[in-house]
Amino acid sequence: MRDITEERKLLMTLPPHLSTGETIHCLMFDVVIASVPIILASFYYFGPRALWVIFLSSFAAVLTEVIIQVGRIKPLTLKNFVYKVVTDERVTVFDGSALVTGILLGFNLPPGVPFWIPIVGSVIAITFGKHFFGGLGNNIFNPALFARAFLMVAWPHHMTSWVLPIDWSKLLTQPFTPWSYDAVSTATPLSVAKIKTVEYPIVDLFLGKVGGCIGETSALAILIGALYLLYKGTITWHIPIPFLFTVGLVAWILGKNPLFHLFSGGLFLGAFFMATDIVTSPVTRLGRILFGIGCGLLTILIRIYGSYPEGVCFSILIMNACTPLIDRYTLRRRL
Amino acid sequence: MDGFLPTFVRRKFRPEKLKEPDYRVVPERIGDPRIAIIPLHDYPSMPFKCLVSLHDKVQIGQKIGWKGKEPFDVSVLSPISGIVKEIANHPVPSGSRVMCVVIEKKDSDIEMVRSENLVRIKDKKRVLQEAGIPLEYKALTERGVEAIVVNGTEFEPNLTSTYTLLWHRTHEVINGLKLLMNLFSIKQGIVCIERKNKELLDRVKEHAESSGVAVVKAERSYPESGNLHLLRYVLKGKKRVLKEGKVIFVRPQDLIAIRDALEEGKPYLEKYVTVSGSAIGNPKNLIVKIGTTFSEVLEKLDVSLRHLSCVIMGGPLMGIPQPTLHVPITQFTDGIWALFSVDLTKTHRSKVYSEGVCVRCAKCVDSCPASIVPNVIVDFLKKGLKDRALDIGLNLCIECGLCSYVCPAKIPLSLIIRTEKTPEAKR
Repeated sequence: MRDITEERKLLMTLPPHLSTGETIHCLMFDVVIASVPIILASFYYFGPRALWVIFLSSFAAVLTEVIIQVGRIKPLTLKNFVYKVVTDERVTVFDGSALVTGILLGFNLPPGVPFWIPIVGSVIAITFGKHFFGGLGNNIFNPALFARAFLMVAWPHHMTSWVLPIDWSKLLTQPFTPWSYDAVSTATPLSVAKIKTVEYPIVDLFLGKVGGCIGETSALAILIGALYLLYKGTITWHIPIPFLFTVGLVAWILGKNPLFHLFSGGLFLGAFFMATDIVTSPVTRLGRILFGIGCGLLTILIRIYGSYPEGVCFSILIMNACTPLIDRYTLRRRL
Repeated sequence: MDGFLPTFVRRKFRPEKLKEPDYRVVPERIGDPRIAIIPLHDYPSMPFKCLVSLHDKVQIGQKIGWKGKEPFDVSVLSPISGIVKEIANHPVPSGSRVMCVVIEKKDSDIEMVRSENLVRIKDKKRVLQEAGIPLEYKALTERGVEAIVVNGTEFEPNLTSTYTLLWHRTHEVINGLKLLMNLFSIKQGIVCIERKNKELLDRVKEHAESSGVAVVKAERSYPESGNLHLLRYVLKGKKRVLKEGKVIFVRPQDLIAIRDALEEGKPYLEKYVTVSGSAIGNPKNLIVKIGTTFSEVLEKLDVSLRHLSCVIMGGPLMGIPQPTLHVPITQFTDGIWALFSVDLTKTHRSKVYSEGVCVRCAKCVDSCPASIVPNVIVDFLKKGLKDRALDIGLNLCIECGLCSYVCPAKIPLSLIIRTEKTPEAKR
């Protein structure tokens, strides 16, 4: 019994002994990376004004989050503030969720809005949309869409005045035209289609050379960002593909042009960036598919039969409210 | 730190293969241990009987006890010749303390290769029990089993012992399966091997072709606790008409033992074990006598035991940490994962690595092999709603640990679920 009594101290950690190095901020910054092509496209179509709106909304969102979380720090000294930000788990400013909300809200605003609209929107999104429900992970509605719905109802005039995309070929002859804020006003393809039958070239719709919100016009840019998210594994196909498929199918059944409905409006942005918001979508795979189908049905029904020209925002908000119900009925598992 | 900065590398839902020994290298056989600790039963409530007393002389292959209920008892055999030093409670790798016989090796006159006892027995079914092979004898004889499924996948990222024995002893594994099927007149035998392991798949297929054993490609690997999920996959994929209660699962290692016992009269005394981890310079597959202590195995590989900080039975996902190095290799030990590492306590960790709130990202749901919903189950458990947690599949958890592995909020999902599972489901 030479060495049975001799005890060595060994670490007793509980399995699993491995973990990915990934944290919540990776998920959030993936969305920021994926939104880069959309920001570039928005600059191409709407000029520096678009960047200004996105900057204002994201800055206001992060600032609101800082103010809300700094309110918890007592007493408020610089040393205490820095200490809390670095060590306190509840101070979640730097996980990027507020930044993502701000960017997505910016994508959902028309390029010609006055400067205070994105600021008010971001404040509403972070306070009423997120922190009043209990902060990150507890909100029922997608904060960015919540704020957009609020702005739509409160200032419908500002939220529905669209401008024509910039024609960069004029830059050489009239150097100041693209940069002017008084761009030519126009209507979105969907609001035009509401009144009369017009044929938009599908290529223009796909590339985004139409009037609309900052981030939603270019389906191509959104697709590039979405492919990154899908490849990276941040989102799965279970929400966006049924969403798009349902919209296309129902539009086809009702005798409309499915391609027009797929590429116009905010459908791509909604399907890949808004509906897939991790906090407010169902957790099970079946639930996610049902969620996508529900979003698609509501979108196309609002578009065709409702009096609003665009239904993505409201359909996703309605389905967000249904998420706990969907979860409840898809959670049960058998072997 | 992998995955900390946003990169263009695809997100991992399972750990990549760690530094692991190549299964094509012939495994080394290490000699007899100085001291063998042989557990008389597998878990504390299992009935057992000890047939030797202190200071008795035992021979290699001698029956020193039996475990389980008669008539389905399984013999416990001595792997070495020597003297019984102690009969006492000892820690075993499964984490509990059970009654063990400690045998000190004495150079004996005979090197037993062939156990006369086994050859003499007429009843072939009894031979398996006498050879100490832990099978589900009760199910085999009473339940009318229709198929045997062999889980040839390796779930842990650092282990290759299953691959090794399937690669080097393919013939014996298939033969053992055939013998077992004939013995209990079972019609179907299915071997599941991962799709990505192409060479092994081809090799096993080649051997299985002539003998009527089906080889099935599995999409993913499953741990032993997830055998039923593997079966669900097999049933769905191949449209075989099988009832789940009519199937038993056999470890590949046991098939080799069955073949050795029936054809050569050898008892089950050796085990293929993978030894890897940061403390081991070149990880190896070894053939080790059952009862060898971890410390002796590690000494044979020139590991400085003084600097070890963590020794785990199994692998990083499901492995059980060992409080001491003096635990034996049992029939259920597939590998040793020995580490020089420092585990930082909560106060030393950056705040991004401490437990946060669940953001419902559903990474745990996407990675779960049992397709349950770990984040919602844990949510219910934290609120004290155990009934609802049970309703949505708390007891279906196979404790694989992948949910904790992928969780970006660092919530110990697997730990919470494991502690809250009802005791009946734990066995």
